[in-house]
Amino acid sequence: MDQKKVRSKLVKSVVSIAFDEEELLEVLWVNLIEGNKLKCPLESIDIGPELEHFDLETALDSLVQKKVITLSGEDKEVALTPEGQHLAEQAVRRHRLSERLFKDVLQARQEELEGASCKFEHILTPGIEENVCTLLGHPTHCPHGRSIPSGHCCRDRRFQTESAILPLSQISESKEIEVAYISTRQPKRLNKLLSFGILPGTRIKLEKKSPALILKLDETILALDKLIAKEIFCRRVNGE
Amino acid sequence: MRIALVGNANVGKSVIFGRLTGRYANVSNYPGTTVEITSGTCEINRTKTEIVDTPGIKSLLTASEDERVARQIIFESDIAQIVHVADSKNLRQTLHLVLQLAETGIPQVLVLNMMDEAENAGITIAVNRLSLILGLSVIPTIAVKGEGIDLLRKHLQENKKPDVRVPHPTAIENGLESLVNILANLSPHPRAIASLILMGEPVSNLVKDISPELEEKIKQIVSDVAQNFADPLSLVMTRSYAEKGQQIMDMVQTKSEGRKSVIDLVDAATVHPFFGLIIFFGILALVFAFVGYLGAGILVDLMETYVFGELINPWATDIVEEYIPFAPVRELLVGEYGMITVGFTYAIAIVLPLVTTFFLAFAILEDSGYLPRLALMGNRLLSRVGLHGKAVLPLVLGTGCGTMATMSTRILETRRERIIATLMLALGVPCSAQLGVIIGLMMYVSPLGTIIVFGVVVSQLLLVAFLANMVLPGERSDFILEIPPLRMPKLKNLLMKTWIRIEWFLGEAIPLFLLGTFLVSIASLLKIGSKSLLDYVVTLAEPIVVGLLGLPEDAAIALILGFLRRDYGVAGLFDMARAGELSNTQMVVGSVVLTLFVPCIASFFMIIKEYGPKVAVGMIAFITPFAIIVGTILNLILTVLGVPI
Repeated sequence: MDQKKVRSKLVKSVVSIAFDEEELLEVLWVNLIEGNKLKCPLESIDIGPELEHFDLETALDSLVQKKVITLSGEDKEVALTPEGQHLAEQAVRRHRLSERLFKDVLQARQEELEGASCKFEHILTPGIEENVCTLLGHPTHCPHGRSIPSGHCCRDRRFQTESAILPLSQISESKEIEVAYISTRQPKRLNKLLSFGILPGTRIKLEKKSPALILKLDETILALDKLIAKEIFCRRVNGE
Repeated sequence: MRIALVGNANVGKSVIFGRLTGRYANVSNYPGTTVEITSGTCEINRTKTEIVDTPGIKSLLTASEDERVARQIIFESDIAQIVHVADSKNLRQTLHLVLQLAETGIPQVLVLNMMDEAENAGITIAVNRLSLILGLSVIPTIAVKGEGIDLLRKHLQENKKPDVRVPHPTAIENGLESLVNILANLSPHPRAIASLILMGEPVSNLVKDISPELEEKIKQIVSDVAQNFADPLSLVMTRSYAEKGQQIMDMVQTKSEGRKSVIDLVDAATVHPFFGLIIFFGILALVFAFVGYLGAGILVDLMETYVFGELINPWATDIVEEYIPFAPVRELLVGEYGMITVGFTYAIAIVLPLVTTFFLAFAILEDSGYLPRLALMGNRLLSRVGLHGKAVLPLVLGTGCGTMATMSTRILETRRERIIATLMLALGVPCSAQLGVIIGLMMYVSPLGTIIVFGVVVSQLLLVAFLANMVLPGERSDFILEIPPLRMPKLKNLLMKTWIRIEWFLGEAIPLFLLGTFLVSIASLLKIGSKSLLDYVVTLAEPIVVGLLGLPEDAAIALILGFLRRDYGVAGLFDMARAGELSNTQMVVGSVVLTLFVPCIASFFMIIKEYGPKVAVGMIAFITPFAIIVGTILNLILTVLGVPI
């Protein structure tokens, strides 16, 4: 069966999830799934500053009624239903993709990042979300270093839209690019790249891709493993 | 008070060091070979001042051991001035280090070296303006030609501290201030240290004897600052340095179209998938022709047959026999395994000519900048066995001298990579002398035999490295390598470098040669009953040599002597082949076993020195049975199938 139909069915069935509830779902997903827990007492959940203002009780009740979460036992242990898990994962994905979009393409400043992406994620529909993801070169981590749940587009690698941001390993030979961000989480690797002068904003000419990637930074020629190049995301330079 | 020479690798630091002190350090084109610290003295205002040459660094944020050493030297309290040597073609990287060094508050002078190369690349730098902006003396030089050195000499020991400061985001500036307050009493360079701590360097690497409470406090400050940024602080701060650097660059550097030269075309060909290989084999052939014909053929012949065979050894034998009455001592000095007639003769007459020609050939490869390109070509093959391209250097060196190559494994970044490379060297990379003799031996067998010998050795080498890669814990390090431009080597530098290495070789190798011969000689003199200890060892080895490997029993001595010197063993085989005592199959099996067999005693001692006795003994314990098993199987296959060799 067509995957798109399944997804749209899922979306339709719970179309009435409010923005606040979606935020709450995200929080639960981060606490439970990223915390590697099946369920946990409501009290121990770290709600965070964004949700302090709204009525938690009502929102939880509403989510229970929509069968996306369950509350059980005396300490009100909260768990996500399979459907809730899917919805929450998608919401987290949209949030983190939005952050990448604002930071890498629109080059938002640090302080603008959170507010803008919080609003934008709710406008992203599944179709647009895939396009944004493709535009960003199917990023795997948000600017804060947390992983972005992958979507269908990441697995199929369909390039419907031409990406604005691509890993260096996918740039073609003799193109000039500018580093947008480095996604590595290994401090040693990052430091090494930094010491060679590879950092966001650096202009690089990719001279060759074989036998290893050969880069030209000003007058310096560097050879680089493809493995590392996968973690350097670039944007094209004007005219390229 | 001392002066520290600081700068990136490959910028001519060692050449400037040599020009200033009159002594030449190990100059190299391969990033990271200045591992050992060299120091010398220079006369400034009629007083002698010590100058220390530090390993290459790109920034104070360090990754490898030798970079850390460089930083430690900079932070030592008696460093009165930093002479920062830089590549004028790479002002961006230079400014990054200038700005970092500025935070130490140590007086600095900036040397913009290789001005001729910058000019060829179309780069013009407004030196005076740069000097004004930085508040430093900036000296343009072309060190290999000696240009600008006199001017530099005049600025040594001047007290100019850089007058630039990199503005960081407010949160970081606040963090720096709090850290500086804490560190002010602990270090003479609080701001530089504070920056490094924020960039993620462990406190204990930078400040000695710090109390746990203070360390905790510092960690708290770092994590508080980090909260303000999505990116790691190292990245945020490097960005500030880069922005400031860019600002300065815009003011002082202009760039026009550079000149294209023939050397650029050659350059492109060296890493071409097809032409690169052709160039590699061409160079290999040239090196072997040079070392093989000039070194092994003409020079060895001259030294061994005439100088030692007809002059020194007969003369030494006469003197010993006339003045030393004790037979065992005479035997020890000039006997069958005499320290003079064998140990000393071997070192000076056979090996010295070989390594001299090889060192010279190697120096040409180094100074031309070819080796990093070779590393690049070899990267893919070596990545299969858990190494990366940089390991090409020790492996190529190994075909010259395994001992020196073992020492050069230091350039690899992780212990695991160093051990894999050392194992490959110990197992089956034949040194130039051994290779020469094996090539001679191969003249007796068909081309198929030659292919079998080298095919088996190379495949076993890769197989063992592959297995070691799976067994040894740890990740392989990242392959990022700077490729310096191809340059025409300068004869004077080549001769200097070769001479320094020969000095090293003589100092390190001769004692080992003498010790090795001494031990064998003692074993041949110790009589137990009617036989000597050496005879017993030979008898003990016979079942393996004759039974498993199918070699004549005399070959046992060759195997044992192979430990003394790799080529010693094959030479014995060669002698037997010439006398018609070996079948073709025996020649092939014998060559393979001797190549794979234990490294020479000098390499063995070097492995102990670099990695400790445990690793060394472990390697021997693996290599010995492994070589015999491979030989046994090869012998079986060749005999049973009756392969026509």
